[in-house]
Amino acid sequence: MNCQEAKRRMPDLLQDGLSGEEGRRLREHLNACPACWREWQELHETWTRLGLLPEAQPSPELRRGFYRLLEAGRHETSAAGRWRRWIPDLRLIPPAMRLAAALLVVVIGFGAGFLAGGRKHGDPEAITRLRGEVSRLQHQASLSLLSQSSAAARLQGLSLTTRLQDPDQRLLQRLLDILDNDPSVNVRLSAVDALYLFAEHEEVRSALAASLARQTSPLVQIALIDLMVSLKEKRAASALRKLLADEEAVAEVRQRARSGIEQIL
Amino acid sequence: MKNVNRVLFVLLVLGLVAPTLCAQEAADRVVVPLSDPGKPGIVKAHLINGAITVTGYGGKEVIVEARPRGKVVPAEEKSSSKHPGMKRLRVSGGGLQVEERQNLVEIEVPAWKADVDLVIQVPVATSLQLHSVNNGGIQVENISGEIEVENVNGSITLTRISGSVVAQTVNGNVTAAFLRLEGQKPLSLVTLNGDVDLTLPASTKADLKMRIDNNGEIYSDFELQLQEKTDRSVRDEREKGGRFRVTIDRSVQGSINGGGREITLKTFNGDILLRKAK
Repeated sequence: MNCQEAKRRMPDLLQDGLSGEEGRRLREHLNACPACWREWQELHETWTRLGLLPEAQPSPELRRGFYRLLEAGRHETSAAGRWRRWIPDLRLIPPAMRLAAALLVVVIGFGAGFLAGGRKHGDPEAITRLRGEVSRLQHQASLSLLSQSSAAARLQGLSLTTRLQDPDQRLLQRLLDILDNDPSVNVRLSAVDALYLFAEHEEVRSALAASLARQTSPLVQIALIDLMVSLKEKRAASALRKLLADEEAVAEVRQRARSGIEQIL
Repeated sequence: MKNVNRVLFVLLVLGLVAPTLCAQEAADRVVVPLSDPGKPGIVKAHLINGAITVTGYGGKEVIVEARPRGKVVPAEEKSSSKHPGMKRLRVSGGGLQVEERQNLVEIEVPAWKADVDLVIQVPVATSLQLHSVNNGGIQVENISGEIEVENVNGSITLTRISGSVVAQTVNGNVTAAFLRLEGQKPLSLVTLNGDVDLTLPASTKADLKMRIDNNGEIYSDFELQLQEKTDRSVRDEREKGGRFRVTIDRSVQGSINGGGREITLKTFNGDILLRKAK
């Protein structure tokens, strides 16, 4: 069995174990090929994780979102209607010309199909749809892990979130909530790292600056100060001054706040 | 209502507050059966002053002992201004509360004036959530469940573990030695003042995020594949019987054995030691 064939059969192995000759050959290949083995491991892990997720309940937002989409679709159709006026009425064109035009379209279509056929990928719409689906699943998986009672699971959720290209508003809000309220210092520290990746969002930056004043753990305070410095976030200056003046604060924190103020301003 | 399952132990030993001069108090001991011994339980312990020691054993019950550290506070140290010329005695026997509900055992010592050491025995597969603040380290041995530990002034020492670890202290070392690594959950070990010392089986596949500050260094005898950051110096002294040593400006990201499990190690004043289990 070659790699391509193995990759195609992996989902079957996941779902029903793939018995018989084909299963034996796939397992043989997996044992022999490190690349496929790694891929299989990843696939298997994702599959197990997805299986662990509690079943999602549709939120009230879903219904509203659906009708919003439907409404948007309607607008698009009526916009298309306006364009139709500018296209000449086909009935006015002689039949022979119409036939020639139709043939031309068919030839161009075949030609384009032939040229594009070299690339193996399916139609781009399907790929976009699949990407959207994967991103939705990842969002769902992250949110679910982030609300687990085990700190290790929440760390796993944070690490999953950092792999997202563009986390939605709800997920970003959850990250900020974790930064302020999570009972575990380790999780709050990882939230600082995760939010750093999404600092181009204005609301993330302002929330990060505001969060510094609320933190009590010296470890999180230092991590946030470092983050504010690397973002050159001037809004954090007042929180930094407060830390600097705070007699109760740990020496390392005050020292870091002092150098932070100098670097930000 | 299946509330029969609910066992509530409240053992208040406030009756034992009589001042005592002996160095070691008689311990309070509670044996807690789990509602469902077939399933792994969760043990939460919260302490303000004292050490916590948890050991996995072959039994099915959770055994909790609270050992007050009864001792005389020297007169010169704490001579009372209220009653000049008299010694103030530290009151022992802080009280112990143990509550079990659906395999979740919560242990609390509400007193904060006295030092009380908790010694707990649990089934090996138990998950732990341990918190202490002052006057003692937290030690865990022989546990395969998930471990969450938070301390402030004291060290954290975890040995012969195999689940996941999320551990944090402010003043003290964080040490963890794994027998094997089960599951996929990330590990996170951080401290402000102290070393982070992690021992992993030689075959562990992991992605590491390590951060040191100030004068700290990172030491490892693993073959670390480093990523991204450029300003680093790598010194291989294994030929001469030394360690493989990596120093980078503050943070290092790397992988061992091709990468896998996520591990975060951080210290602000201290070293990071990443060891191969022998």
